[in-house]
Order: sequence, then C-alpha cells, then structure tokens
Amino acid sequence: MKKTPLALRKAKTIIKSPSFIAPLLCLIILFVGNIISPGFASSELIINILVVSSFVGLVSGGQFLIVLGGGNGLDLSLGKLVTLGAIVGGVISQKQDANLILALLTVIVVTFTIGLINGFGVTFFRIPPLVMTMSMSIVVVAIIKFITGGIGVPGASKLLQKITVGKFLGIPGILYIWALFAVFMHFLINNTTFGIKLLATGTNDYTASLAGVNVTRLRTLLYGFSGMIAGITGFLYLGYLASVYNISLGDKFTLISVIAVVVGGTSLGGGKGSYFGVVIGAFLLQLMDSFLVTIRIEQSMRQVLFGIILLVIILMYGRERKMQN
Amino acid sequence: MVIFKATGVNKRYGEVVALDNMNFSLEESEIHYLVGVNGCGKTTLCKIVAGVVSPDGGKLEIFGEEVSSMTPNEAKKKGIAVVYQELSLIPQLSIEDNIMLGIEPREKSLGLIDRKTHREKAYEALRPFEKVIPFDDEYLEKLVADIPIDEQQIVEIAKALARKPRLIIFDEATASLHKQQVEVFFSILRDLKKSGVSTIVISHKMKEITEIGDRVTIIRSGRLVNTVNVKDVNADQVIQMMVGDKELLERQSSSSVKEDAETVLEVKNLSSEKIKEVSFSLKKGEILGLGGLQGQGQTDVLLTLFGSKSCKVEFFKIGGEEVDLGSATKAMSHSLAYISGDRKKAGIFSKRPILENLIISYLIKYKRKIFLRKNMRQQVLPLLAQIDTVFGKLSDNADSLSGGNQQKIVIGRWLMTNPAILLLDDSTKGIDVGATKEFYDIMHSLCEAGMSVIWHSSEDLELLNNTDRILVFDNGMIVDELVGERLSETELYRAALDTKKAHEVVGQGDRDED
Amino acid sequence: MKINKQKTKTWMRSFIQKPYFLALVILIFFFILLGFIGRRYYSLYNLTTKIRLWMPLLLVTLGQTFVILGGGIDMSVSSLLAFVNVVVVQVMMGLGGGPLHQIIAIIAGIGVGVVAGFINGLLVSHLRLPPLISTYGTQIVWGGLALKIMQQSGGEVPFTWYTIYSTTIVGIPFSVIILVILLFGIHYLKRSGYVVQLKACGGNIHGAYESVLPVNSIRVKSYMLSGFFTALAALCIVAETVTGNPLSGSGYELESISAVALGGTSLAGGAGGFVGSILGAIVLKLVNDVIFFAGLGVNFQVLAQGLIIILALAVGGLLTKRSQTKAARMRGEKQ
Repeated sequence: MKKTPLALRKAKTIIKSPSFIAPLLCLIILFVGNIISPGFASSELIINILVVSSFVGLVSGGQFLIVLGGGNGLDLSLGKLVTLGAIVGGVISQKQDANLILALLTVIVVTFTIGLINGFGVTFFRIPPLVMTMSMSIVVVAIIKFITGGIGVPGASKLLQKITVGKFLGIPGILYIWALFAVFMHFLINNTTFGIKLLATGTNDYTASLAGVNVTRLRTLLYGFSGMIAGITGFLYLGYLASVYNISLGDKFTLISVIAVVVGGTSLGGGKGSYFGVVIGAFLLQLMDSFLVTIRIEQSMRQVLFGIILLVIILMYGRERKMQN
Repeated sequence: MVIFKATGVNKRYGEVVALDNMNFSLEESEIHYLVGVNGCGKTTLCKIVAGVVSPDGGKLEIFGEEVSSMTPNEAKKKGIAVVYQELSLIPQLSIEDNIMLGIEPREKSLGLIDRKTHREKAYEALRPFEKVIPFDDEYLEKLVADIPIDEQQIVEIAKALARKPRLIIFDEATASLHKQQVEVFFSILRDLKKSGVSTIVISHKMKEITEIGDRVTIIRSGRLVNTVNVKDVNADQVIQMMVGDKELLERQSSSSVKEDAETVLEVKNLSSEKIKEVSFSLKKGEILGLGGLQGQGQTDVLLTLFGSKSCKVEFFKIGGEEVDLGSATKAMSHSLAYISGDRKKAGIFSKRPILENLIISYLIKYKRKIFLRKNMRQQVLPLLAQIDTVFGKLSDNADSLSGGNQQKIVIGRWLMTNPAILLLDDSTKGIDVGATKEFYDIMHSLCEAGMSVIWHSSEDLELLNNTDRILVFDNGMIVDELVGERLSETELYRAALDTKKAHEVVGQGDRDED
Repeated sequence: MKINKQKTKTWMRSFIQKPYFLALVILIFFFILLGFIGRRYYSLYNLTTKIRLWMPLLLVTLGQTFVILGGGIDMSVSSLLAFVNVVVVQVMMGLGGGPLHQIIAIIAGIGVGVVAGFINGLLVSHLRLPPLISTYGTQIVWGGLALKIMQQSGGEVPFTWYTIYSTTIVGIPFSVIILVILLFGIHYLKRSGYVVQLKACGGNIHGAYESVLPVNSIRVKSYMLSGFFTALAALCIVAETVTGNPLSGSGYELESISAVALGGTSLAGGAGGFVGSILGAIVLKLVNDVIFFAGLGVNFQVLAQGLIIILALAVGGLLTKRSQTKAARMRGEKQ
C-alpha cells in the first residue's frame, strides 16, 4: 500500500480548509458576478460591500468569542441587541454630537448587562445557549417596543454619521474601526491571558478547570462581551442608516454572524479559529447576498439558501461521534 | 463441553500489548473466575468474548463455531450477556422497564405491550433477589435513579438474566453489593450453573473464588499464567501467580525525607463521592504512594485536594495552617499541582500550541494579563531542556508530541508554578519505558530539592520502587500502610485484596447488617 | 382503616413527586386569580374560546415533548407551522376551493409536516448533526420556503373551516374533541412501548444502544411526530384565521420548549410526560391573560412572556441539576 507523500497530504488539508475555500469563493463570485453584471467587481461596489460587512464583522466578532469558548456556545440575541444599541444610542444622543459619549456608555452598560444575564442562564442554570439567548431576545424586543412605543427615536447625529460613513483618505470610517477591531481581536487571542484561557476552555473545559481557569466566570463574561459588541455595533450602525426605519433592522445579524463564524473556519465545538477567517466569512456572505440580488433571487429564496448553507457547513465541520466508538 | 475457546489471541492498543498469545477455554455449566493485577488484560479478554473488541490475531470458537470477530449485537444474539460495573441502565425509567428494555413481550393483535407478562417476567428476573429487596409492585415501578447503587447493580444483573443467556460475564459485579446481596449473587451463580449457563467472573475478592469458583484463570501482562481448579489451590498461591516471581528492582534512589522533616500537608476525615473519612499526612521531600486496586478512591483523594471535586473534610492543613482548597485556582495558590494520567481528557490541550500548554497555569497563578510570545518562549526553553523534552517548534500543536513528551509538557506547565506538593494521578499511563524512567528521575530530583509528592499509580512496581510509604485503599478507605520491609508486591496485594479474610466462609460469622 | 390511610399517604406523596406538580399548582393559582380579576373569566363562552385559541400551542407542545423526551429538540416548529399554513391555503386555492380540494389540501399539509419532520430526524440521527443548530437551520429553510409560497398574508379559506372549528358538540369544543382523539393516540404509543424506548434514548443513549434498541429509527419517529402535530396546529390556525400567513407560528419554538420544561420534562431528555406539557402550555397562555386583566400594557405581555420563558427554563435547569446531583450523591452514600 503506497503512502501518499507528506507534501500531497498537506496540500489536501489546506485545500479542504475553510481559510482556503472562503477567499477562493470570494474571487469566483466576483469574477462570475462581473461577467453577469459588469461593474459588479468595481472598487466602488466592493467598498460598499465592505462597509456592510464591517458591521456584520463586528457582530460576528462577538459571536466568534462565544463559539471559541466551547460548550456549544452560541448567541442568538445579537441581532436584537444591535437594534437595541441603535435605538438607545439614538434616544440618548437626541441627534446631538455632545451626547454621543453618554449614549455610547449607556449602550455599553445596557447590552453588557443583558449579555451577562445570558451568560448566567447558560452557566448557572445550564440552559442551552441557543435557547437562553433566543428567549432573551424576546425580552429585548419588549424593551425595544417599550422605548419606541412611547418615545420617538431621533436619527443619528452628524458626528456619528461622519465617523461611520465619512471618508478619510477615500475610505469610510467604519472600515478603520473594523480594522482596529481586527487588530484588537488578534491581540486578545494571541497575547493575553484571557485569550489563552478562552482557547483552552474551548478546547477542553475540564482540562482548563484543572489548569486553573474559572470556566463559569469566563463563559459568563463572554456573553457579556458579545452583547456589548453587538450593542456598540448597533450604535455605529445608526450612523450608517442615519435613522431608525424599523425595529427589525438588526435581525439579519443573528444568523449571518453564526454563518460567518463557521464559514471562517471556527470549530463549532470551540477552541479553534481565527478572526481573520471570520472577516473573510463576513465579506463572503455579503458578497453572496449581493450576487444573489444581482441575479434576481428574491428575499425568501435567499433565506432558504442561507439556511441550507448553514446545514451544509455543519455537515462538513460539525458532526457528532458515531455510536460505536 | 467447551462453549468458548480462545487460542493464541493477541490484542494491542498502539504501543501497549493487552493480550499476548492468550489461551482461554470455558466449559458449559462452569463458574470461571478471571484474576490478575491492574491492567493485566482480563477486561480486554472479556470484551473480546462480548464482541465489543475484536482481536488482532488468534482463533475464537463460540458454541462450537469458529469466528474471527463479532459485533456486540451478534454476541447478544448468540446468548452472551455482560454485566459491567458501569451500568447500562436508564435512570429515568422504572426498574421493570429497565429490566425488560428491548425484550418487551407483546400481544399479537395490536402490537401493544402485554403488561401482565411484562411484569411477570420482570418478577422472574428479580426472583433470585427477592429476600434482599422489596419485592412488590411499588418497588418495580420505582425509578432507577431513586434506588441506591447496590440495588442498581442488582437490577443490572436481573436485566442480563432476563435475556436468558447461555454465557454471562460479570465484570466486578459485586463491587457495590453488601454481604447479604453477595450471598444471593452466589446462589444465582449456582442456579445458573445448574441450568447449564456458564459464567465468567472478574473479581478481586479472594473469598468469592474459594467459595464458589470452579476454575480460575490467572493472567499476567496479557499472558496466561495458569488455569487451575479452585479446589487445587489456596488464596496465597493464586496471589503468587498473579504477582509473579519478579525481583524487586533496585529502588531508584534513597529516600529524600530528612529525619526532622516538617509536615507539609495534613488531611483529616476527607469524604467525597468515592472516599470515606480518609486521613493522612505528608512530610517535606516525601513520596507518598496511593495503592490498591484501581478505582478504590485514590483519584478522588487527589481531585478533592486539588479543589476539582466536591468533598467534606474536617480540615486541610498546609504548613500547619488550615487552608481552603475549594477550587483549582485556590489549590494552585497554595502551591499544589495536579498531573493526570489521562492526558487527553485532563492534561493536554491537543489542538493548542505547546507554548500555550506550558504557560497557561503560570499566567493564571502569577496574575499576568498580557504577554509577549517571544518573551515567554525564552522563559520556557530552558525548562524544557531541563526535563529533556523532544519537540519541533513551540508553535506546534501539543498532539504532535509523543505520549511521553506530552506528559513532560504537563509537568513543565506545573513546574512553572513552583509547586510544593505534586499530585500524580497515574501519570505514566501509556508512556513508553524510556520516558517513564525519565519521569521517575525528574520526580526524584524534585524531591531532593524539597518538593513533596502524592503518587497514585495502577502499576504496583512503580509504586514500590519510587515511594517511601504506600497507603493501600479498598472501597474508599485506607486499609493498610506499607513502609520499609513491607513494601513488597505480595504485601500490597494482600492488603488490597483483603486476603486475611480469604479463608472465612461467607455465611458464617456475623449475619447482621453490614 | 389503617391500611387506607397508608395508601392515601403514599398516593399523595407520589403525586407531589410527579414532574408536573409545580405546573399544576401554578395553573390552579392563576385560575383562582383570574376568577377574581378577570371579568367573567369563567363564562362558558370565554373558556371555550380560550381553549380554541390555545390549541395550536398545545399541539405543538405535544409534538415537541416527543422530541425532547428522546433527547433532542426541535427549533423548526415555528416556521414549519407557517410553511404548512401557506401550503394548505395555496393548494386549496390552487385546486379550485371545492370540498375535495380542501381535503387534498389538508392531506398535503400533514404530509409536508411529516416529511419535514423526517428530514429533521435524518439530519440528527443518521447524519449526526447537533439537534439544536440543525433544527435552527431547517427553521430558516422552512421559513424561507413559506415566504416563497406566499409573500404576505392573504388567500381565501372557506368560512366553513371557522364554523366547524369553533363549533361545540354537547358543549365540548371541536378542538377539544380532536385533542382527546390525539391523546388516545398518544396513549396507544405509550401502550406499545414506544415512549419507554424513546425515553431510553433520551436518558442514556449508550445504554439504549447496548440494549439493542433501534435508536436511529426511534429518534426519527419522534421528529416526524413533532412535524405531524405541528401540521395539525397549522390547520387549527388556518381554521381560526381563515387566511394563509407565512409568518404565523412565530415564537412557537420557544414557547413549546419552555412549556415542556415548565411541565416538568427535563430538557436533557428521558424524564417527564405529556400531561405536564399540556399544563405547561396552558400556564404560559394564562400568564398573558393575567397580565391583561391586571391592566398592564401590551408591552408588558411581551416582556412577561420572555421572562416567564426564561424562568421556566431556569427552573427546569435547576431541577435537572438537582436530579443529577441526587444520583451522584446516591452513589456516594452506599459504599
């Protein structure tokens, strides 16, 4: 029996890995898209897609941390928290630049707390993360309705708009923010004790606890952070949208953040993944969505497609063990 | 008539040889005991009989048929049943439902369960135990989760009996039973024998073997030592065959315990899930062994000390002061370190880089928040050299290392935290001889430098060669302490198997509650 | 005399230990409360209307119970309901709307539900995908398909559907009769041993496998049952609203799961039952009414709904933890 040469086997692993497939798909879609609809791959459109991707990318960063932490972690309240961030931000700042800092702080406090409650439900009450966070999102909806029911939500202040979509050196501000965030994530994962503890917990939470990690506290904090990131993203998103047009503005972020994280090569079991992969994943998904719109696939079928993509991805990377071990 | 025969059977798991040219035969209507020291291969042999494991080589003959391998389902269909120590019961179902699971009798017409026959058959299966359990409808409806462990074991046995097997394997099935229940177990074995069923019993209770066994097979290091008729041997001879004529190897080095060494650790009345009121103390530089058969509570002692398992204790004293060891972090802060032998589940982060595996506990203990990889690399390299670790790059994943080197990484992790007391939980399991010797050398040099070690191992020779004292465990309690001349394998097994009572016949003596 | 007292005592004790005891207590409490603050809550008209309105959730919860007992979970029930809803309406209208077409539509709807359940079951048992996220994925897919079939609410359903659905026979609502028939069906499943084997899969799947149970087909069946019950719930909603709505059933996945948890069934699988699920679903619905009659606004209803769900799950989680530690302690007690 001939053994496949090491080089060939290594090449096969690389080709099968998401970090290779995702960028490749991006190029393919850009190429095909440009043929079908010339101008698809223009720098203008790409920057537009990047801008939308950056919001997705930020939220996915929070989701990324949760998934990395293992324990089947997943946060499905992120979409509603984005909406909440936008609304609270708008209400507190009242379109005044001067109130922006106060508004941001309020958003942070509120969404971080909600995230902590999620974390507490998951770690202490052992409620499955998917179920806990989904239930929490109902509570968030109630809060949103309460705020918008009584008070009208003003739009974004000028400064906020400038920060997010205003161009510096031809590039919209939000992209700088995203880039900074990516650098921060890289630093967090690679050069902080928190990062090591996080990856250890995701790899094997029992071993992590034996190595001195307080797994419960860590996982609870993770949900706080992901909620907070989603809230801040919503705050910034308001700057992009300029005004709150309806209260389901954040809904799409939930599913997309999950898919982006998995497409980016993060293992659903935890302990493995890179934020760079998530960045590519976020971009790829927006690109796909754009492409589907261009070839006139309607909203409902796009939804079906994304659901199938999720299933296919879990099929490839997320299956459970066989019965006879 | 021989109903099961294994000839020249081999089985290895990676580097470890479980069975080597094993020959075994089982007669009809026989009660056949399998004995041997920890890890000798008896469980592997039974797994082969039950179809759970397939042999690498050799011949198997079952009920006259030659087979090369079997699946568990095929084994069941042939009438082979197993009663493991780890139960296959469903806690949320009733006793009756558990016993009849998968073999429920049905009415022909609608496919409904014939509840009357269902209950009758459950009673039938439990009948042998009717004197030691409540034998009524209310009991049968109780959930398995709500009955104590010994009754659960009984239900597990009844479940096997209900399937009317021709061959039953009992793997340490009496471990949780008390005296009266064991008597019942004996009468079941006798009844089975009468009705033509053969039984293989794995047990370490010498008194059982002499009381009821027909033949006994002694296995050592995966090889057959002998198969003898029980009436031709006594307990001491059996132990001698289990243990062999090995000479005690030269002790690794002289003891590092100084005459006036202080007591570094004191434990009083420690109880947890598996242990009961354990007390002992540890001196500076001492290596204290935890011996006895596997699973008698040794691991629980270590885990409770390390704050990773809940427990009740009168006190833990380190350096004379009472301390709280309620979590791993707290234990770490008191300079304890825990090294498990189950590297995959409790030691190594396989898909993480070696560097991260090494520095994690250090960072946590000394409360470092951020670090530079370059600096940590420099800090770590001399340590790895000191313990002779062979590796590629620090950024390689930990699972790229051999077992022995993986273990060194775990040691390295803890050395970085400057521990005073090392808790070793069967840490050389599955490691090759060379790396194991290096491990012993490292431990001894650490003790020279003042560290103290509590060492649990399933390998008796390892304990005997490396420790200053051995606490022998049985059923969660310390039954003996071996020191000096009594540090021999025979003594170890005498204590572990409670052979002093081997010549007592069960039934005589106290009949009152145990 | 003495013997009778003993028997009543043990009966009472076993009753208290029943998993749905808590739900029953809460239910009775709410009912009494509503008797005071609700305006004529106990009028026959009100009660029969309420039961009719509660029926869809009850049915979905029953289906969910099967899946959870088997150790799984079904997040797709919400959009499956919508999917069946629009399929029924479109098929009916597409074929012409006559009585035969209506029957075909009903059969089609149930068929869709069962097939969707079958797909869920395959993904979980044969393809070994984790149930939570796999049924979340199918939730997205069914939802999208529902929108594809019908972009917004509408369609014409003959009013006879409502008439039949809201009728009472000898004072008993039609929907209750359907429920009773289904309960007989569930009873049959119990008597045939399916439920016990299902609980085995949920309680200790390795043990179940060791006992030579056909684990895969048992679990697939549980998902198919969930699909079947969801389809029936969709039919109820079609009859109630006489329209097709691609967004119906929204929130049902969470409500059914928490109703099951509230009813005492462990989300980890293996323990619990259908009585508890029915009680749990009713309690959830009563919360809405209690809040309404207490004078708090609509927003509070939504808030309370979310909080109750979390509370139900938390209590369920605590009970599961307690039974796990109880089992562990028991192993430590007898040495």
